[in-house]
Amino acid sequence: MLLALPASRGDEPKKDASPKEKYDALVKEFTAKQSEIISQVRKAKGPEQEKLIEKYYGIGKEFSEKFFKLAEDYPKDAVATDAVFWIVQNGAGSAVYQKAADKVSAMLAEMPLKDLSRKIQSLRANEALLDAVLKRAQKEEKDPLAGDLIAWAATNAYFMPGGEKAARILIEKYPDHSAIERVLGILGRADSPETEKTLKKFAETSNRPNIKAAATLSLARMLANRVDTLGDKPAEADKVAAQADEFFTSAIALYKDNAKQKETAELEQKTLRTIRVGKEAPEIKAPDLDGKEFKLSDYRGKVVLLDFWGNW
Amino acid sequence: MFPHERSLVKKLADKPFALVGVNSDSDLKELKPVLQEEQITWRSFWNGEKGTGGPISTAWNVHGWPTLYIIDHKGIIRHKYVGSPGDKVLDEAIEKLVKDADKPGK
Repeated sequence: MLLALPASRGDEPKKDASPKEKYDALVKEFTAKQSEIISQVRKAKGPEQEKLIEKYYGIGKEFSEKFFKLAEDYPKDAVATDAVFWIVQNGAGSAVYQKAADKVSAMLAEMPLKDLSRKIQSLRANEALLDAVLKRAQKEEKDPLAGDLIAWAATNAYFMPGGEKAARILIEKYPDHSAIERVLGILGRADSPETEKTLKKFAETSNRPNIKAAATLSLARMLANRVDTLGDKPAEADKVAAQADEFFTSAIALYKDNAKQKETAELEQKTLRTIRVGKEAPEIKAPDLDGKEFKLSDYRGKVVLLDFWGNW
Repeated sequence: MFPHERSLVKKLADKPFALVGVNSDSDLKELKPVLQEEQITWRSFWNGEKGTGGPISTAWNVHGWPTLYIIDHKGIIRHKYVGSPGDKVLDEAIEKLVKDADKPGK
């Protein structure tokens, strides 16, 4: 009689694999599954594609349960920490998400600042993480490492209210931090009287050339973007454009030793002078998608929605 | 993929309005079937074989897709959006300018 052999269990890690090996195997499996679904999504269309996209977002949840079990199986191992962080990064909506988020918050409150500052550099911001990090930074305000936590929040979560708050805290309490230049650039993307005041202060009073330059360029951009909203107020548009133009000129001078930034600023100033809300649209004379040439001015007398698009 | 564009074209078919695209796909052959499938009936300039690095987007300093410009009936640029501002904002801006274009003695 033949012995019945058990079916091959090649996709399970060996029984004697270390916790780290099991963690790495799960990450590899997750990544492979993501890639598989992505290639299927590309080939599918319509409702089938939508279903696959849903499935894609579902695998983060599915694997969260596996990672959570790993953390429970090896509570004293480093993978327990890695596993709950993984869940908070990838498992939004899963049944174990909140438990993992609570564990992460507790860790962030207790971890040595040096380890925390290092750990967050590889993390994407979300509400749960941001909240815990900001709390910790507030608690340890006097420690310069707290500035690193605030800088992480300001540069990674700039699109969230907590991130905006962090930008202002960084500027106010850690004005010598190395991330200030980058944060000033990010600040200029939002247009508010407060932001304008902050940027002007740095542009006018900073004695650090790179900070002065970054604030000036950020201010120029903020005002140039404001022009885009003044389509119904041409006189005001001209006024704001003139202010933006002046700041571009200053920024170009301040960046005289930084060729890349200087070139970028010059290009943006040129655009402000030639193509902006309030000015006549320049002519476009080019072939259509069938190779037949036509002109933008062919549509004079009509309102035109000029749509720069691509199929990707 | 372009439901709002299609509905705009339909809604304003009898008005002084035109949707004009500037397409930055580098491969026209691959794009052709998409035009059919998505019923893209409006005309588009082709930004050329350099795709997003082509001459039209370079001249207009466009770095984000989609970028939308609304030009009034006199050829003045009145709005610019990087990314869609949402259907409501877009429609209101267009309709206001179409009303102006429709006025007698414009």
